[in-house]
Amino acid sequence: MTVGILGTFLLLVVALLGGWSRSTRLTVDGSTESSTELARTQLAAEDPAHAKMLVAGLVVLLVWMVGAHFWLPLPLAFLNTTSAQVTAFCVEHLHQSRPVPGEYILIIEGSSVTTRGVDGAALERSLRSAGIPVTVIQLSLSGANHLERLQLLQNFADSLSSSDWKRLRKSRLILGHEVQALYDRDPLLNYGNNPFTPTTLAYSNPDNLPTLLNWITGRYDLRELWNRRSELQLIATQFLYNALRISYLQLWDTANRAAPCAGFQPHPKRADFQPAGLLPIDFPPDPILSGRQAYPRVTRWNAVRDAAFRSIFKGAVRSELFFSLPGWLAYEFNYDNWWSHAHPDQLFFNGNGSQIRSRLREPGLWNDPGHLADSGAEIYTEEFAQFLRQNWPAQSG
Amino acid sequence: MLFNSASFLLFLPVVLAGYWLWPGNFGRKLFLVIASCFFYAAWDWRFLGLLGFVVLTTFAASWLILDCKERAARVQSLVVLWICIGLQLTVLAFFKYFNFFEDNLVALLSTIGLKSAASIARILLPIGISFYTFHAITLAVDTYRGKVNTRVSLLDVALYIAFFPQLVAGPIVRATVFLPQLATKRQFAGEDLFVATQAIVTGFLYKVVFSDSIAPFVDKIFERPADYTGLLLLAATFGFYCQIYFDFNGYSMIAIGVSRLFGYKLPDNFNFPYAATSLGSFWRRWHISLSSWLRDYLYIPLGGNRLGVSKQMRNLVITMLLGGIWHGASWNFIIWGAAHGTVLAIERFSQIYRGKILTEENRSITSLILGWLVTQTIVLILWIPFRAKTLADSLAVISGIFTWRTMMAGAPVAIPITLLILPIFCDTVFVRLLRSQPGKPLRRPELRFGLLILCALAVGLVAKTGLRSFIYFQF
Repeated sequence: MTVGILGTFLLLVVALLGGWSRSTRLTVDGSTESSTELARTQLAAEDPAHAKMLVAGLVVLLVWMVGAHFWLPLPLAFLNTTSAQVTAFCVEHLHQSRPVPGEYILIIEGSSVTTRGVDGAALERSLRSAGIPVTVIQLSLSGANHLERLQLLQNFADSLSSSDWKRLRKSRLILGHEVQALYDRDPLLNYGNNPFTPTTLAYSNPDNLPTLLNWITGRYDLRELWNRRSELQLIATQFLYNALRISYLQLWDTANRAAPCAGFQPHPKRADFQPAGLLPIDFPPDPILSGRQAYPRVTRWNAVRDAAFRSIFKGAVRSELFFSLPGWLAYEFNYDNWWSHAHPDQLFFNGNGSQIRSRLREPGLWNDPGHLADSGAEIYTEEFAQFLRQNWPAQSG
Repeated sequence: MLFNSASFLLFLPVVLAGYWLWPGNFGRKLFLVIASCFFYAAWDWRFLGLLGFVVLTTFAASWLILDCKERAARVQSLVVLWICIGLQLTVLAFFKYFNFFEDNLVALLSTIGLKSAASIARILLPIGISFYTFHAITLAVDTYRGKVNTRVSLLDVALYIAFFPQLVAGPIVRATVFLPQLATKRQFAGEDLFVATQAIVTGFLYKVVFSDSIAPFVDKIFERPADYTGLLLLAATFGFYCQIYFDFNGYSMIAIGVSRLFGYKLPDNFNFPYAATSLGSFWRRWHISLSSWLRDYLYIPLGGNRLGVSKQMRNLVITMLLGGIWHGASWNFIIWGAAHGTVLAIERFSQIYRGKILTEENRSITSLILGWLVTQTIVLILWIPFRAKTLADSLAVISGIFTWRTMMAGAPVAIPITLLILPIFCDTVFVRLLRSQPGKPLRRPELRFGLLILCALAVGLVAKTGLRSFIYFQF
């Protein structure tokens, strides 16, 4: 309805502007219509100066982009995506939990391994039963790239009222980051190809451009950038589309109010996941990758990323914790073990430690080689809670 | 690379900047040829060789024809012309019709009990082949006819055939229109900028707002036409009537506008065809570059109006039949073309019988209204075989409408009434009126241009999400 009416209105306005009727119309055999040709001759002397026109066009473009920034907020156009639904759930959960003096708020962010492996509600129950007054906010999203994770945190922060902010500042806010080999080495992983949230492109928000450029330049050299040129082109166009708000109205039209959806999404075992045996307790170390050369180089940008995540909460974050999830791949196992040695000062729950791996050896506990199934998530969350109970007071008090 | 794709949004400014910053005409044209190759290669680089073959054979033919003419060797020049036309048509036939002929041959053999295995390889249709082979034929024929009477450089031939705005879906530009424009260095003029932007904005509005918004409704009904009521089938047919106009006219306007940004003028491809009051008038307004091409390079060489009434009728049917086949290798297009040819022949016969050629000026209001109703109903019905996937689907749509089927087996579908009525009515009545106005001074051009850019941004705001190809890219 809106499209038909607005489109027709635009059609009339464009036609009314009148350039066509002034221009010489060319027929297929090259002749021109005499009346318009005459008009052209009369007007030749006052042909508009194109420089003035270009300036006028650029001014309009600039005003449009500034106006769009204030009047057409991007997240509103992506309300029907999982990202918006998870945000809505987390805000609702924060409102439902009663603030208590000395409370902790633990925000967990991550990708699909966290979405399927960390049960935020169970973790909260377990910690509360141990006397820790905590509210767990699980802001993880399957397939999310780093910028999408940043935008998810931003959406959450933007949805908080002033009293929520007051509560956040009064509480001891802990930010929990997922450590994951494939993600940590690649700021562009899943950038334009998120199979779970195909329309969540709000993260290509011009406001996030400096952050993304910071990550990219911190991670890649020129040769690597050339190899990623198709992704860079995609990124450039996504940003351009969002900066100009292309398709905004239709996205906004189809966006329903986000129905809340929990960050924890348990999955059953996949039928096609049939490993030959049990989960190996460990793998031999990889001399090339764990040789303290490859990992530091490809993950040096992580500190900048974590700082960007932290900055969203405007100084309210008191401490951070890091966690990884187990998997069947040697690369991830070696990475987590390297990580725990390389960051001795960080509070890190290594999901690939031998104790937890020994509890998750049965293939039935797995959704696929990279993700836990619901029963596996239960065990993992239990171990994670136990780790936090043991380490909590010393690190975050 | 589609005009409505994000990559084109990045490609165009780079090519424009490179073109206008280049000081000399030769360098500019070379740059445009390279950019056009890049544009074509973005779809499939392997077919650049085919494009190169078409360019080289046309270049060689045009030079040889002129050589023969200088030596007054008329027969030899005719032989060269036919070899060139034969080569272009062979290329077209092989890539476009091989699969169709093979499928039909296998089907025919199986009906008479002979089993024949189809070849495993399916021939991929090179995008734009119907358009650039027609450009090649145009240059060769015009050289033979003496309309092009100077030697055209290889660079100019390459640019004429491969110029990216019109490479993949036309308009089919005459050599006599385009080549003279290549002779001089183009000047960047405010008028060109304004008109080009206006054409591009209108084209995008047609395509990404109207056509792409109507398309999902039409696609759904035509996917399983037997499942829907007569009303929905009629609405979907009307939807396609609007969609194809907005889609192809939108493409043509963007092509014309983009070309104008480089200082080159292309002729109009549409002139409000849905205002036509006779089928002859419709074909003078719809896809003008093709219909006039068929007239000048097929209908007239076949004899045109010169060989008596019956041959005139025959020529009309043959021309439109071949026009149908040009659109694609399918029985639906053959029927569509033949039906248009037959109706055109009947219309012409009635005019000859009455001894009077009816034009819009010498007809009464009642005759005009009646003529418009009949013409547009015929056009509407004949879009059915053009759109349906198979012959059986075409029959299902036609029978569903004419029996006014009321039972529905498919899921309910809402008819997007505003989209189907408002834009097409407004375009055919008001925009037509505005565009027929004589030229007036463009006051405050910078203010108008600013408004135009604002409209362009508003079009983007309303644009349909997702990338949908232009209908005519398949031809």
